[in-house]
Amino acid sequence: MNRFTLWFHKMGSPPTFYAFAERWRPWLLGGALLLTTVALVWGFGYAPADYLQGDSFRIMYIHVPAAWMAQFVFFVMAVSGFVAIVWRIKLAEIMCIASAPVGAAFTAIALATGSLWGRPTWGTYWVWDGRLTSTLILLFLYFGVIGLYRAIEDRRKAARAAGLLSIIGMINIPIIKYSVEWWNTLHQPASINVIKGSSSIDASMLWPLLLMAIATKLYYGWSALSRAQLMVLESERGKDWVRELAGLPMVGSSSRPVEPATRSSTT
Amino acid sequence: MSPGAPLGAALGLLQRDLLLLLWRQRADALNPLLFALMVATLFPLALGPEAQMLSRVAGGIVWVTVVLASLLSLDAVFRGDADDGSLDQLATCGQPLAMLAGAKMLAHWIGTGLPLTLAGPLLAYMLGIERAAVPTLLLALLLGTPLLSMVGACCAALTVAMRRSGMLLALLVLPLTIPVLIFGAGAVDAASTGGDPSAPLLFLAAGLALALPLAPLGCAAAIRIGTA
Amino acid sequence: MDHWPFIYASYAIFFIVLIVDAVGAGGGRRRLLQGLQGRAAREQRRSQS
Repeated sequence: MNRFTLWFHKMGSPPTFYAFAERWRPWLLGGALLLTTVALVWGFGYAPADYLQGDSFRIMYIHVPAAWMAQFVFFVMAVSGFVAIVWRIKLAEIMCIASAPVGAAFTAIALATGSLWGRPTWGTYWVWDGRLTSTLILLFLYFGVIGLYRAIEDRRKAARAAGLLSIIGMINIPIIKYSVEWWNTLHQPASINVIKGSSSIDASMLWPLLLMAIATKLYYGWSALSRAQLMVLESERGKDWVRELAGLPMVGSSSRPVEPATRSSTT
Repeated sequence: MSPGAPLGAALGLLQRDLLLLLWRQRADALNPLLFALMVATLFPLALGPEAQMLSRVAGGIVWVTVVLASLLSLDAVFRGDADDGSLDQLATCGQPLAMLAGAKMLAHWIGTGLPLTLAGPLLAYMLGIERAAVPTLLLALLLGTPLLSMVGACCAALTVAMRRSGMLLALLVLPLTIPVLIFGAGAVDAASTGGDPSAPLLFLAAGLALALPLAPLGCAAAIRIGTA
Repeated sequence: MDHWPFIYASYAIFFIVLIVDAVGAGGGRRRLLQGLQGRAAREQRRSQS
């Protein structure tokens, strides 16, 4: 078994995962805050104004990373949902659900900032073109996933159902991506191409954007891992390692045996 | 297990569902059509009877109506089976669950989608649609209503675990049906204004081709999650 | 049209929404552990009475 497979299997154990997340959380948040500060100061203060749009292009440093994250997080949810359904790995179920709120947040940010960017540049807050409409649909899909998870009683079934919904909802992602190619649209077509290495944005404007792209991914990591830890604590609350964390005496270690109020779930 | 047993099982399930839907509960069988008729009537009442405007939006109105009417009968696809325990039987009977799910989707389409497809042009005539657009409307509905049934059935299977799932089911299904709505109405719009509807129609066909093998699998997975 | 109000509003939305998310993600931990302690204390009392 190679190192990655071994690591993957170890991560499936809740206490190992919890410790892993606990170790990396500060770095993720710190990195996100640092990169955000650098990128936004750079983009806000130092990048030259766009010759066509003027200063409002600076909204790009918020809007574009948020839009990228909206799609990326949904993709992560669909993948972990797939793993959860096929292999019934509890942590995969948890990661899927833990990612949903951040994803919805980024989607809402993308829609709101896009709208605010559109007003000074296109003259309108909203237009029913392919990309805006399909991003709005994405927001509804996020709400659907969260709503479905909260509506089913059994937590593990709820997570798997929500995971399946995010797999079904993946069909929307190509529609978002290619909508600017399929339809004549007000929205700007893609001007950044990481794979080909050529972009139609000037380098001095591009760097803050790339830094924000990394920063938002780090923040997503922090947020999802934090929520995942909470969910792990909740679902494993009868187990010894959680009781130890909470500073409680372990089951059977006190003089009078304490009957746990909850039966620990079988994995 | 004899060869052809899965198909036989699926056909048997289809037969039972159609019998229940179209004969035993035949009073309810017309509900989707009546609902569509009423909703289609609401639009001229709300928007005003100006013929030119209505004719322009007729295709869109018919599509919205079809999507909503199709939604209404979705809860019933698995509710009855879940209540009397048949769903668990289907999941454990040893036949491929995807085929059985496909049979349920087909039953929903025959009971709801197909009548709506046939009634669509009539509703459109009522609203004064361009004559030239009617064949396109028919074709678009023919391609789109199976998609609505298939995606809807997947969501119905996901929510069958809950008691009062009505509103949530609608919230889950509608975002997924929006692409069908966009392409379907887009095709009719293109045909009404003298353009070429083949691009949206081809997208619908592509969606159908993708959904036919995948949706029953998704639906089966959803049933398994609910009954596990 | 002055662009700056739109720019400020966008940046503000970005930070406000993500701070709300951060509070939701990181804030529940202490409450959860306290809740566990509370539950354990109730069990103790119930088993001792």
